[in-house]
Amino acid sequence: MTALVDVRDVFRVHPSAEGGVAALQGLTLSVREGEVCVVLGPSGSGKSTLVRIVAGFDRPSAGSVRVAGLDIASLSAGGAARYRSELLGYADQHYWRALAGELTARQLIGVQLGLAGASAASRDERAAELLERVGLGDRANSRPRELSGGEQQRVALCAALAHRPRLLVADEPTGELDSATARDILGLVAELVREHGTTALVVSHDPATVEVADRVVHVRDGRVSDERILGAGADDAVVVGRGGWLRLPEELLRQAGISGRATVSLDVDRLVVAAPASEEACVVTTQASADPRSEAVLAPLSVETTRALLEARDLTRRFDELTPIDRFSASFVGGRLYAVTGPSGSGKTTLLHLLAGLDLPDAGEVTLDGVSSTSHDRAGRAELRRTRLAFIGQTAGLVPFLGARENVELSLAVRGVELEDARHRAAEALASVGLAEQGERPVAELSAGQRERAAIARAVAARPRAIVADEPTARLDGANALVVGLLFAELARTTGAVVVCATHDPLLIEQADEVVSLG
Amino acid sequence: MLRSALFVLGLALRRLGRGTGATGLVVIGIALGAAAVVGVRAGTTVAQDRAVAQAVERIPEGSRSVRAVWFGVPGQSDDLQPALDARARSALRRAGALESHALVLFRETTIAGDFAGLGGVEGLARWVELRSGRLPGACRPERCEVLRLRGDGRLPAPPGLRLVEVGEAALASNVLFGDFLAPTDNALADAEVSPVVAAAAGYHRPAPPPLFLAEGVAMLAGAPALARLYRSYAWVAPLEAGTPRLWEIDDLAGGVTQARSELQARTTSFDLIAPVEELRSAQAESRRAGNRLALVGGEAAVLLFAFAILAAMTLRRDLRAARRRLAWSGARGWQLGLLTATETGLIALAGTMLGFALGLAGGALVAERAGAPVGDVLAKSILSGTGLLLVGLVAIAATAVLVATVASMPLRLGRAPVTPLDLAAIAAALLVVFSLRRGDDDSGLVLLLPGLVTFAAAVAIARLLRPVLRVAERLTHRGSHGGLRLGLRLAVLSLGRNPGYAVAATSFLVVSFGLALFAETYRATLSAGERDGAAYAVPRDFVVRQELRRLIPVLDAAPLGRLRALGPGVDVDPILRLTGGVGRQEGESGITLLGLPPSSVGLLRWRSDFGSRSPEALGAAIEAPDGDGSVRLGIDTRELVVRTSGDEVRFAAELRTVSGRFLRLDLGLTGTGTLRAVLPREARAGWLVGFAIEPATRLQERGADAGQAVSGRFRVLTPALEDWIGVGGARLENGAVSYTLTDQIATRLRPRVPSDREPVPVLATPRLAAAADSAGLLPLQIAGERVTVRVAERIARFPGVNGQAVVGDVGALLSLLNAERPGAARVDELWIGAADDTVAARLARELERKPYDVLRVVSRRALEAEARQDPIAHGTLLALAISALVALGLALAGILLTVLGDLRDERGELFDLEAEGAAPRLLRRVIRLRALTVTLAGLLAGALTGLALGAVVTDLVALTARATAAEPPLRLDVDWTIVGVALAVYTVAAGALVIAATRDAFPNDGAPGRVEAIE
Repeated sequence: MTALVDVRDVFRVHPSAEGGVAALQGLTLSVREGEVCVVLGPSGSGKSTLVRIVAGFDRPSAGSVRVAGLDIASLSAGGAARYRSELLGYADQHYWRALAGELTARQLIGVQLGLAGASAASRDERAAELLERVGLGDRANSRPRELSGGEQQRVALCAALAHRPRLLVADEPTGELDSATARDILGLVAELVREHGTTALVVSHDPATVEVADRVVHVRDGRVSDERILGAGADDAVVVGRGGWLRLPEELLRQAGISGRATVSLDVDRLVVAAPASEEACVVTTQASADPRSEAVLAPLSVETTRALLEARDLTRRFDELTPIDRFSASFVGGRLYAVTGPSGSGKTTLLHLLAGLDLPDAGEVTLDGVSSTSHDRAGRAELRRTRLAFIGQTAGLVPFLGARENVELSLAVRGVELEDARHRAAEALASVGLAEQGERPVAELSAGQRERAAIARAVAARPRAIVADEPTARLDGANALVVGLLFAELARTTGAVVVCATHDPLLIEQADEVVSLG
Repeated sequence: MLRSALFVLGLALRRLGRGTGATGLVVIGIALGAAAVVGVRAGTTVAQDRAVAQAVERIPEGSRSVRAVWFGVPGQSDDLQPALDARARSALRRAGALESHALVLFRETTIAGDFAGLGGVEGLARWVELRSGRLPGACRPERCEVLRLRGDGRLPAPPGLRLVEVGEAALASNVLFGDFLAPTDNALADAEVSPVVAAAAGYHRPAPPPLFLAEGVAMLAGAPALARLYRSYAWVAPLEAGTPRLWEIDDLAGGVTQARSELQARTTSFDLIAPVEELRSAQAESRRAGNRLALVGGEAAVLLFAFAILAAMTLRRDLRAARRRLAWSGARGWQLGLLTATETGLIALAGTMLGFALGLAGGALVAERAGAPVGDVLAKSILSGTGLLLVGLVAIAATAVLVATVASMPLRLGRAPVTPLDLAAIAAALLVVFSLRRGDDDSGLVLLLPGLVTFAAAVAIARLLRPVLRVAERLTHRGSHGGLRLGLRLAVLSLGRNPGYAVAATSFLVVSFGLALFAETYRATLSAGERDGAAYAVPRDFVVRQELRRLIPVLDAAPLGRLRALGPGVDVDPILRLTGGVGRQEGESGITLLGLPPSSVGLLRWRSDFGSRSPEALGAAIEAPDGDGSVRLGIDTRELVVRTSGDEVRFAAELRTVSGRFLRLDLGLTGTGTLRAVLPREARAGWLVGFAIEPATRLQERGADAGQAVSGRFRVLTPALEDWIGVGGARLENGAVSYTLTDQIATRLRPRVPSDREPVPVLATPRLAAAADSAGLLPLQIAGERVTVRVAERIARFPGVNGQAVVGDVGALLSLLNAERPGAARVDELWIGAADDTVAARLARELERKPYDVLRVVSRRALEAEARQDPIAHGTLLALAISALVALGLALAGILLTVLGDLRDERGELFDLEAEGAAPRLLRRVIRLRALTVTLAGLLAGALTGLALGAVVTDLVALTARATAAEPPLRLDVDWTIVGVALAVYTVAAGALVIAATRDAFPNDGAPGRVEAIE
């Protein structure tokens, strides 16, 4: 079979105050006609940029992108629209955003056909056929708000395939679905594209997506880090980048006991990568200027590190038809790093919000440092957070035009810390995360990793009993993700605080003292 | 292609069909804006119509008609009266006059040997007021009954036409005869006239002959006895009250021209007369009044459209999401454009249509209230081609604005993103600059000024807000963080980080505050302008002048003493007002010399732009001695005796009576010993102010023939002329007079006056001041005499005077001028001040009565009241006041939208803050302080915008509230009391609104901060 999608050495640099941020760095990818290709990678790895470029919404800074022989990069705006109209189907992660609320399921499926000039009758016929196929034949006249999440995503898939595209691009199609529904949808994607002979490029950070893939491509730092063709007779393959750049699968590295350094030798026609003899002496070096632990000046908390600082008892949280947290209990002990893992929709963020007192359970109780947060009103819970807890959201929430130091000081001001004390604590916290030299630079000029560390410094400066972080490495490259993981672990051990992170990132999970799995 | 286009249209309709609150707000905003435009168009027409009606009322009664006239003798014309009648009536109908009244007049002619006037009128009863007898019956040859209108002469008795007098009457109005009859021809006009005028009229013109009027025209016109008499035929179509309407003037003017051509094509004896020029002038004047209202309406429309834009900001996210969805589905550019245009176009169309209906209803209401014909007003304004075109333009403009608001994407000029709005704002600013440089108030651009200025300002503040907030954040960063300070810093940070909706809200507040302040400031400026205008025209409470029709000197009817005796609180200033020119300045004629008591300058309503010094200081600067050194004649003196010796010249005494009048008393020839002359009665107890020396008659004749001067000398023995001087060729030393006489210069002996030693100090307007020499001396030609004054101070203008003027001490100026030529100057105007309103009211009543009723009295309060009652002024001021209130109301709505927008758009940021431990109280404070910051920014920028706009409009549209030229020029006036009260009310209302909107924003009962996605 020929390659329907051929992406070669694509770079995409977004302009920034620093002169440019590379979202894709020589990414090469080929998808054969009729294949289901799953592109896996953490947030910020360049997946969305890849999708936009393949769809003709963005142009690569360098490299070539061809789909069905069309040079996508050279298409005019009209040509790109025609290409999307005729060749491309698109399913978005936020299916609710992709579906116009004023249209019925039948009408939604007919939109792309209608734009292409199809008659109402042919649109309705095609919609009925697809809805029947996905088991929604009786919901043809329902509007999106009358459908469940899974049903909406089914409708979105039908809409993407209604015009029989040659390529389906699905961006995190299960990102906002519970795990059972997600499995159903993934199965449906695979069935539909195979029935239609459509090629599929599915972008996801959920490993479960691999189940439906013919080809799995791991993307990290804007490059393909791992590419495998699944199925009988297929060899695992690792991409060799231009100039001999080689990214080894993390799983293999782990199995081989390689963490920081490796020896590479040629054995006849085989390249042998092995752990060096003195691996224990190996020091992790990252993009950061130095090991943050070497600068750490963290004030230890006078807490008993074996005591549970954060406890959840029989927590239940419902959202309409969903109950992502159902009678969940856990004790989070001081001095330890916890990784809360689970597929998308398993309730990780909800749990973190409950633990931080940002949401209230329908049942159960949360105690922070022995105080029941669920028995407090909103102001009381805010008081608890101010004095005992730091929350790091998926977006750092930093003021971009202030320096890191000022951001930390501002947070401390909200917590009622006097200015002089705040200055001292901010300097200390920034030093602890390796940003002592970068404190005055506006956050907007910091790299993604530095921004995340600034957010951690903000949390550290508050000297909390507990730190709750939601996907703290989501937008970081591997090196920075590793630094953050190490930092959290060190933070927990040094200060005696409990650190709870919701994460998909194996690099962070690896540093955790304990993993709490949801879903 | 067609099918896919229809599909997009269907999508757009479905999207609109679901209807959101924001869409409704946009529709309402556009509807109100369109209603303002449409309503103002109708209102403008009504105002213009009223202005025309007022102008028509000002046309003299005798000219307020369309009149076909024919002069001649029947024998010289091919057509007899019936044929002329048919032709004239036909022509008048063509000119739009359906009903006309015929008349014939034999004016002051000899009829059967008797000098008399005779006329015939159709429907005589309507035009006369019977004083005795009865109305005449139809004129027949055997008995043609007539009314006597005036005169005592005999009724003519032409053969074959028996005239019979049946009564006396007066003309009820001048409409019928117009200027065929002089005012004095009408018994009704026998008003009191000055004895001087009466004497003059009697001298120049004998008593008019009797005038008789009969019923009907045809009989007199066809009477054989009168066949050879010159006569006038007229067919008069009076312009009834309220006609012609504004929109009928063009037709009337065109019809008059055509009808005149038609009549004169047959005979030049015909003419057609109509007050077309006056009507055209009224039409032009009314257009200015209309433009003013359009300015106000334009302001209201801008404000309401701005509100629509603010509301449209909330549509932007939804429409962009729809465009993004369709783009992923392969929608072409034109399809996305079609979707946007359809949605915005339909919203704009719906709003415009609704506004059209509202404006139509409002226009009908305004027309009905103003007493104008509703149907005609609407047909000529809103429903006219121009009106409908305007509505179409409103719809297109609203669509364009909506598209720009919801769908425009930034362009990039270098590194700076530039939106179409930025470009439009730059274009608007350039247009304003162009307009200012051109300074042309007739340009239609002026009407767009409020919109252009506020739009440019709004976009500017939107662009500047972020950096300004950064600076503000730096300022709040200093020092320790108290609760309020922290909240303020967080609010400013939050605005600087994500201004979002706040930028739109601030821009809207700039527009609304700016327009509110402009409307109020302009209202205050126009109100002050009316007061200033009244105070300028009538510098004290009353001005009393001669009535030009009667020419009774002011001091004859109203001696100062009598006026001052009217009671306490009455203050009378004698005023000298003369016109003249400047000796050394070419073309500077028509200047005014104004004399008044220096002490009264400080009592005038003075504006700082009149002069750089205070009025009191200016009064002090013109104080001058006013003695004239004249010799008082004793009360018992009956005869003036002068003893002279020497050469013979004609010698005459110049006397001033106690009433201020000047007399000349001929004494005879000098050198003959004692000269005697009996003093006229009115000169008794008066003053001897000089002696005139003229050549004796024979010498004068000889001298004139020879063209040579006559010289000589004589001596005045008594009276002793101590401190007298000779002028105009005379020299006086110890009673000895040497002289050189010509016909050109008056040679006199007179007492020395203070101005002989020191020129009279005056205030001078700039051009006159510039004409003075380095010592400040300015030669003037006043009342035929050349006098020199000294410019003490430069002023821009002076109350009571239009144009260039010099202002001095009345006493000194009288002395100066009368010393040059006795009688050259006299007080002919009085400015009367009243201590308070009660005195003013009493004085007003007194001045309406005899003997003052023969004078022209103008009251400042009456002028102000007239200005207040003027429909255009009233409408303009009311519209401005309403605009200001609406703007403030919408500003309140803008604040509410801002707070609601913040609560919606800033959820993420607020969540972050709450996650940091911010309590609900702090979050509420942040939102409130955001609103406060936005309000303050809007207020400050709006205030600057409003004042700038007010200054620009006041400068360019230099019209009073009544749309007349302003004298003195309008000056920007801010009524700080009203502005302060409005601000306070607004602050309280906005505060209450913000508190109410945020009170339950962060409930304390355990509601979550934010959980959008479940993961």
